[in-house]
Amino acid sequence: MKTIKILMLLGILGIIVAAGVIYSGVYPIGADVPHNKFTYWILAQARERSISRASADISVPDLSSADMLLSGGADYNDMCSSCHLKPGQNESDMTIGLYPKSPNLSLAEHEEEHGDDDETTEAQKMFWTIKHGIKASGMPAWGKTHDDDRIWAMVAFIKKLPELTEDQYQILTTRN
Amino acid sequence: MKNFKTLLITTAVALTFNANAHDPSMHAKKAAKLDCSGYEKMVASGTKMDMSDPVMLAMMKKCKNKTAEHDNADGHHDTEKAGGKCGDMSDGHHDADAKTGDSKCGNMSDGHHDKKEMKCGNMDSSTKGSDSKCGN
Repeated sequence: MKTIKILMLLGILGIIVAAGVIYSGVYPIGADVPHNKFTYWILAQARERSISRASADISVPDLSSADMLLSGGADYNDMCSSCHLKPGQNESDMTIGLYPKSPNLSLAEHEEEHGDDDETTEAQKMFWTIKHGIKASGMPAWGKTHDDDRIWAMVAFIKKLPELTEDQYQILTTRN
Repeated sequence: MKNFKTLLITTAVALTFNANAHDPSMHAKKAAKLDCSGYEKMVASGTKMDMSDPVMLAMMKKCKNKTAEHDNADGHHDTEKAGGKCGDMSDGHHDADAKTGDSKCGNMSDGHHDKKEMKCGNMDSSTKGSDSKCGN
């Protein structure tokens, strides 16, 4: 009984300290000061678990058509490339300033971050993320202005993106 | 009251533009011009093209009109240059026009084509008829 009381007291104390930190305004909220490792880990876990749960039941269409690449490529270039880059580009004003840093989708290393995911799971997560966005990360919910077909086309293009040369990228993304 | 009306109209106009902002035609106005020179060089160099690769098919689809425009602007008619030869390349090899480096037609249904340049033909179900000049 005594232990429970102590735990409750510690819990209340923790809540008071957390509230004090929040209301005092001492936590650095600027994008040029990174989170501490603990905060970053908590937020990253919350993000990954949430996306995994929410995207688990999405059914993935055939993503291998050339038309999807052309539609998705043009949209990617207009909407995503300033933050997620393109072949031959290592950084942009957006990637330098964004926090958390947006993944460079033109590199194969990006795919290794989700190494445990199979093709379907990766596509499900990608679709969900593009459609719904991610809070406080700079990632918008494109589903508000784009239908599912266009979002799947972007998924198809992004999956091919690490293999593309600069010439291929230019041809596939030009809108005409 | 007048100020309020002005504000209301301005807001409505701004929201209308916002609603249309992601129409593909809006993007087209600021889009870069298509440059197929990389593709044409690749074709001219004789690089083997995998007809089952959606990236390759997408490039062909995108550049076929551009290449046709370029040919017309040069005053050439490709079938004449190629001797008007149209053949069945269903065996996966097509050598008839290797010397001219220019082939415009044929059945490439098995997905292989060793030719220098290709403009049309029956490649597979996804592209069938999409860029054929000579028929199958």
